[in-house]
Amino acid sequence: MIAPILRRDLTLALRSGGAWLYGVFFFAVFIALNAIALGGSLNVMRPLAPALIWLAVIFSAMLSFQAIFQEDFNDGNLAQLKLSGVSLINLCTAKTISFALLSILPLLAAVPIAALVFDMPRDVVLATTSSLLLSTPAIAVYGVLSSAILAGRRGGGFLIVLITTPFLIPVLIFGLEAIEGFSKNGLAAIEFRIVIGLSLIAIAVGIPAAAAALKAHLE
Amino acid sequence: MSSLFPQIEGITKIGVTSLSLSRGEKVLIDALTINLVSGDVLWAQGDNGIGKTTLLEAFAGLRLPDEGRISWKKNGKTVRPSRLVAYQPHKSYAKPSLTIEEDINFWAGLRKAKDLAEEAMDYVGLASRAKIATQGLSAGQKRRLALAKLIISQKPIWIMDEPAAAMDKSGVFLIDDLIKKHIGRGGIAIIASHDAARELSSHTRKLTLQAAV
Amino acid sequence: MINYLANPVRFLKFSKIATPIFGCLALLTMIWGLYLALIKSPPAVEHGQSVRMMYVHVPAAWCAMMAYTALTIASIVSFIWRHPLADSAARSFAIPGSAFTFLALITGSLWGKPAWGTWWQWDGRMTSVLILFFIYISYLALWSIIPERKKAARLAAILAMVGFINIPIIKFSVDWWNTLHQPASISTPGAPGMPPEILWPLMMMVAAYSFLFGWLSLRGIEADIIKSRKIRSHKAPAAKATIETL
Repeated sequence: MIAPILRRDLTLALRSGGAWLYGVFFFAVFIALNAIALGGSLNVMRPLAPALIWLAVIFSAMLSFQAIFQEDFNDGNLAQLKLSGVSLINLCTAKTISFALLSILPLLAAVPIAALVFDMPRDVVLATTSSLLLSTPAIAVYGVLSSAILAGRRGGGFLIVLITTPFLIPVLIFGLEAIEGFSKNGLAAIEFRIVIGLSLIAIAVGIPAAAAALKAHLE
Repeated sequence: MSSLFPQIEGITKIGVTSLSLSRGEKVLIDALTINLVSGDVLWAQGDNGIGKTTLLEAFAGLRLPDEGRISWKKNGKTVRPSRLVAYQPHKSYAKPSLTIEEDINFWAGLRKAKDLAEEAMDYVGLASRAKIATQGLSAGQKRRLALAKLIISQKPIWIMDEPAAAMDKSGVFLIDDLIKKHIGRGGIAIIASHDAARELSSHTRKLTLQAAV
Repeated sequence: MINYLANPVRFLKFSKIATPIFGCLALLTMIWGLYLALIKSPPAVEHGQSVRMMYVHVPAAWCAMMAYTALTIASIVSFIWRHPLADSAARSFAIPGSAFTFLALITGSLWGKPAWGTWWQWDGRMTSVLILFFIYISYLALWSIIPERKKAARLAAILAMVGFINIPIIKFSVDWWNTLHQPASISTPGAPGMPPEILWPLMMMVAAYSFLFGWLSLRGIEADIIKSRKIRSHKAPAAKATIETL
């Protein structure tokens, strides 16, 4: 039941005229604005680079959260999916995967470019990419949850940021700590294991909660 | 054609007991009691905004009653509405960038009825346009597509919101024909419509919603 | 007890007696507590007079957490049994709860000025309280953005429960982050080693805040019940349904 929904979401995204790439453009704009605001000195920016990249990813993801269920809710597809006997857990899982693929992975692909403009050392780039990759499930799940809660609400954009911030703070903290841990212990650093733990907790709690929220809209 | 409309096994029932529905702070329907069994047709009529769609959504299990209850039964056993109900909303729910074929195959796949997709398209008269993106369809054609999806659902209860709006004469005839076939095989049809209620089964009822004064 | 009070009529009867009792107790303990805290208790050795801020700050932070726990319990009841009174309760806990959180932030900042020399430090405890404040705000915002009451109650309950699960995780991560990057926070005396002249006023203030929380919540629930009743009694169906056989 997950695969057909996922396939359809990916098809729709590919035919959307590149709308899924907007997140990457936002990422680039955010990095550029930071460089300008910070005065452009590489010595100032190099130590800040992992944090800036993390923030760029989080803000870019937050801007896409609202859209996860918006269209399917407004055009009646969500109701039809429920009547087709699709379990809402599966639906939320499919949406989590498609969000990770369409809205976060392209950003990860852009990290090396950001690394060039910040002149980051290679192992820091590797650490940043790994920590982002391992946090992707948590970011996607909380996006799906908040979008499910606010499905069909216009102007929920600011609220969605407010709702997801507390949940993403631990991910942000350990994602960045993991980058520091990497310099000492590589991928074996305890912080990486905590990041994985946070992602697993997010999946275990967030997906059923998102399914329950969708159910509340469709009953 | 028989494979599109297989006999529905067992008896299907919807029981509505002192149902009360509201939208926002406004109570639309109060203390409605009605029972429908296999072979029944119910027309829901009334002016715009009086609550027909809200009522249909409740019948489809997409809206909780404020008071009272609705039960969906198969052979006397209460089941989840999604096992029995197919709902055709007023608005088209076809994704604009998908072709007719892709759209219908997606829903057929979910309902494990992929083999019916082509036949259903043919039945509603869209077979020749299968490769066209649904955004290129007229309003009437979109309704035909929705009808095809109703057929492949293979559910005993059809709930249709204004199926004939924007349809040409042959389309209206198609709807009547479909409903008659569906009733003949032991289905239930609930139709919201502004047209005159037609007697599509030996047990046809009309529910009229009138503004209270 | 809970079963008995689940009926709104009985609840109103109960709260008619309980609300003024809570109100009076809050007032009495508050006066007594403030007298002990501000006048009778000695200034601390290391912080001087500014330690008195502790008596308004610490109970506020505790009550903020207590209110969130109460809010979560009400949300669980609301989610499982779909009881409208639990919805009223959850929402009525959140309003004083967020106010206590805000008070804890303000008093913490006022206390921080003499202790740290700045109005704000990214200290572990303060940061956690700030995040709790965000959770409260998003909870209340969710209630206000969704007009259908039942739906709002259900979605808010889901958010509150997920938030509750996340609180220890947030606390853990903020503490981890804080010990690595920030100076140690100002010491609040631990309960066992606390001398009685500090412990007493603190406990009195905790009691005062708790009664205040109880009073505000009861009033909130009462108002909510009366409001929803008024709406219901005004509701006449907009349409009349007639069924005829063709």
